[in-house]
Amino acid sequence: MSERLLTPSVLAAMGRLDLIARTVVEGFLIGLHRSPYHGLSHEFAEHRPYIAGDEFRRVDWRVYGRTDRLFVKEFDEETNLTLHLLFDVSGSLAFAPENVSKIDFGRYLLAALAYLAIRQNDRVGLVCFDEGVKERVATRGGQRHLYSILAALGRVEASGQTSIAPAILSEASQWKRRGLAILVSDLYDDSNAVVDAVARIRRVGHDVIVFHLLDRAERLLDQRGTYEFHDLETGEKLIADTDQIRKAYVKRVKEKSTYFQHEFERTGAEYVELDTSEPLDKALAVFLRRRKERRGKG
Amino acid sequence: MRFLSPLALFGLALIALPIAIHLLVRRRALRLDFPSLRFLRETHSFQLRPRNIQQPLLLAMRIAAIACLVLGLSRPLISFGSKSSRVHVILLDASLSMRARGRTEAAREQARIVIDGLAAGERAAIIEFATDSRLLAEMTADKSKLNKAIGGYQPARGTTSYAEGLMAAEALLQKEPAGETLIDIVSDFQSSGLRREHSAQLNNGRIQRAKIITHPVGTELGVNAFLVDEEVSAGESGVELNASEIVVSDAERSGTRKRWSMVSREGEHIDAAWHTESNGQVTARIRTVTPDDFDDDDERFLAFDSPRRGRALLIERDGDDAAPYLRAALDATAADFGDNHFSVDVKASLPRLGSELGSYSLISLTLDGSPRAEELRVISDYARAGGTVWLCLSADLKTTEWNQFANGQDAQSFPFATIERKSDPDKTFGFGTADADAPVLRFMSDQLITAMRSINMKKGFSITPRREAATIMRWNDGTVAFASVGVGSGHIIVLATSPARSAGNLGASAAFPALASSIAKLSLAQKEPSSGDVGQPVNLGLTPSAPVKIVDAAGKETAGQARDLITRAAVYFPAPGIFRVEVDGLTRYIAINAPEAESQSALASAADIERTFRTPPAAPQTHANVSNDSVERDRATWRVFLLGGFSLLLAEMWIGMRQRGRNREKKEG
Repeated sequence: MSERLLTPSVLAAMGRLDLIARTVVEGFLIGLHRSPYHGLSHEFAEHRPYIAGDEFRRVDWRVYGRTDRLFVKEFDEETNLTLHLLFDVSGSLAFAPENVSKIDFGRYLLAALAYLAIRQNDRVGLVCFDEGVKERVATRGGQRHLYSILAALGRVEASGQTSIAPAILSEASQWKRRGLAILVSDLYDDSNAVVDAVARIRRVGHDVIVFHLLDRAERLLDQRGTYEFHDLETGEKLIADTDQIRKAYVKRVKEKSTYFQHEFERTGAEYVELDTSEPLDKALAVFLRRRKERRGKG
Repeated sequence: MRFLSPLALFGLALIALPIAIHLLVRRRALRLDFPSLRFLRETHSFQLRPRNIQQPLLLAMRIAAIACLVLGLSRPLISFGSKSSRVHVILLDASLSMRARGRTEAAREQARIVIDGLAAGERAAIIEFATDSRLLAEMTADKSKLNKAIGGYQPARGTTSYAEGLMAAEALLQKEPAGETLIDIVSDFQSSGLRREHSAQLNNGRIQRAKIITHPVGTELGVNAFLVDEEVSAGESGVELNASEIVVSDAERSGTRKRWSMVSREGEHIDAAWHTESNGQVTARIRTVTPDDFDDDDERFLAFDSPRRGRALLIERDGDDAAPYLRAALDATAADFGDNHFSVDVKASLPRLGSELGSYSLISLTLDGSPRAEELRVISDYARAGGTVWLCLSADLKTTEWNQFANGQDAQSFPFATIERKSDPDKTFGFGTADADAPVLRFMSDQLITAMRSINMKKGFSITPRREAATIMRWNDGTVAFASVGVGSGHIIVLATSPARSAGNLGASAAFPALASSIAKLSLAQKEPSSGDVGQPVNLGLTPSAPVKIVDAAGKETAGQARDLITRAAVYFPAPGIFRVEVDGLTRYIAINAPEAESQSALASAADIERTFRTPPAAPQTHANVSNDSVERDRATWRVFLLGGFSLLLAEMWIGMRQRGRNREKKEG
């Protein structure tokens, strides 16, 4: 499947966010037919070859007219899922040593999710925040709304310091319908506060998926030699030899990921660690699985 | 490790240069925008200041290269731990001349320089030598022990004998495992000492393979005065003492013959003092009057027997038919001397006290019948005190009893061990071979000795001489007829027959007065003062095992055996002075003087020293460096360091170029 999926760096070359979103989603959906994710797709409008015993009224005649073959349209139903996209755009998201920056990766991810959700007739809202809200797009559905979301994602820049908990709690307090909240962040904030905020959102009936964005260089500290590290949020400087601190640093990062994994699972939220150098399908698959579970509950 | 150019070690400060460069390079760290420093700060290792520096391998190579180059330039002298088998033997000249003008301290200082110059693991021993040698420090690498031993170095031990020092060194080296050997000779290298034979020692054993390094110390003396050629003689008014005062200076050498008349038993002048001791010997001290630069040879000590007057005592007992012939012979001798220089006294028996015989130069008597112990003891004491005793054997001598006496302890002063009567009374016999060089016959012509051989004898004895005795003449059958033995400073002479007519024609022959005259002249022969040099053997004519006691002028007593005075003279007579020697109840005074050779102030030239010891002499203060320089050159340690340094530099350049190439490729890639 990876051969068909486009890496973020390739997506970056496409430039337009709507094109990126569509490419990602269409590629993803085509892949679903041959992939282990296939079982997840039956809630979408899809076609399959006609089999004896199928209801004849479910044959898609337009397809038959074009292809001269019988296909059955499985679903094409209405949905009332509300998707809240929470995008951390603090300064640390600007980190981009070699691949696309974390904020661009987040942009592509959220654009694809929005595209996928709108295509499924879901309602989608977007909030971009650092210490406060930088962009907000109201929760609505429809193709035109998708462009509003994509436009907002295109405008936002990584800057400022992170303050996740107040931002998402403030937003969640305004949500009128329970839905699926997706937090995209590198989680450089008070861990307990973030977990607590997610738990509080979960308690009022929202599903939560936390996409934890980590660059490979950030995760493995694989640069060799002595560097003067500049904190992208605070501007602080620090000189260190990566060879000297790598082992302890990587261990610390793993400990933090394990902590989030454990704590978010305890609250019922889904925690997904995403490498910004890898394709987006993993995130989309998680989204679809979670959406299905949500619909099952509903 | 020591360094011949230690100042070059300051170059090690250059090591700071690459370290500083690498640190500065580290300071120019690349900027890296990072999402958050939170986890970086939380790492434990970050609590420490970053210490890793760029390219540690290159830095290590650069430091090592600089260190090697600097060490090479500083010319290191490395001894490889305790495995070094290099040994030094430091020979310190302890002859009298080393007491002159600061030479003692200069020698000590030079020895310390050699000791300080010892590399780690090198060992050294210290020997002081003169006429004999003394080990001051065993072979050790402990410098403090060696330096302490230097304090025990005390010159005053006689004449310089490099052979003695080298033999002592050889004996020491025989115990050492094979390895590099250095002999360091510290001496004033007097010309007189250098002339002595020692080449045999240089060509033997370990010494032959050893490197000899000479360290001349001391400078020429400006003026030195000393006394030589002392003589004692009987003058008109008493004893006369003569000696020559020699004055040596840079420019010339002059001598003055001096004379002191000893008219009383004791006396004192500005340059002489003497005293007649209880045993009749005279002890004297004479000194130079010329101011000079070396005081230890200014005095000369003497101990001598007063020159005896020409006076003979003939013991003529009742019925002694030999006495007339002896008297006639002695009277003829007196007439021959003339001017009352020789007189003859006749007594019926020997005086009981030896002191009553002190004025006689010769006692003559005929032994008869049984031995009389008291008489024989007096004879023995007289001879020990320097007198001459001439004994003839009467025909009625009881050989059995005399042989018993000869086996006893009291007979040790007499020349015979056994006396045997000639067996055939009817058969005549005569004198046979003679030792014409014997002192007893020294004053007889060859013709008279030949004439003695023509004398027919009817009665006589053959004697078996003691080991110490000298055979003067034999009978024509080969048995001994005439023997003498030295006793103390005197003689006992035994003629194994009698001059009486009943014994033969000896008394009536013309040879007999000549024999008496020769013996009389022997008794008056000039007696050398009883003196010797420091370190030279002192032979008292005693049996080797005879116990002796030596008392110096300060009253300090030393006990030993007669052989010790010969083999270890320097121990018993360590310094010039008058010593009292007590042997078996008798007392002798002996004068010990500074060796004349030590008073010669001329020092050997560098060429002489080099020729003698096959090695160039080293300058006193620079020896350690010169020696080390040669060792260092031999080992070529500095080349190893420099080669290592340059090799490291080349390797560093190669590695550096490869790394730069890789970085460039990385950037371009």
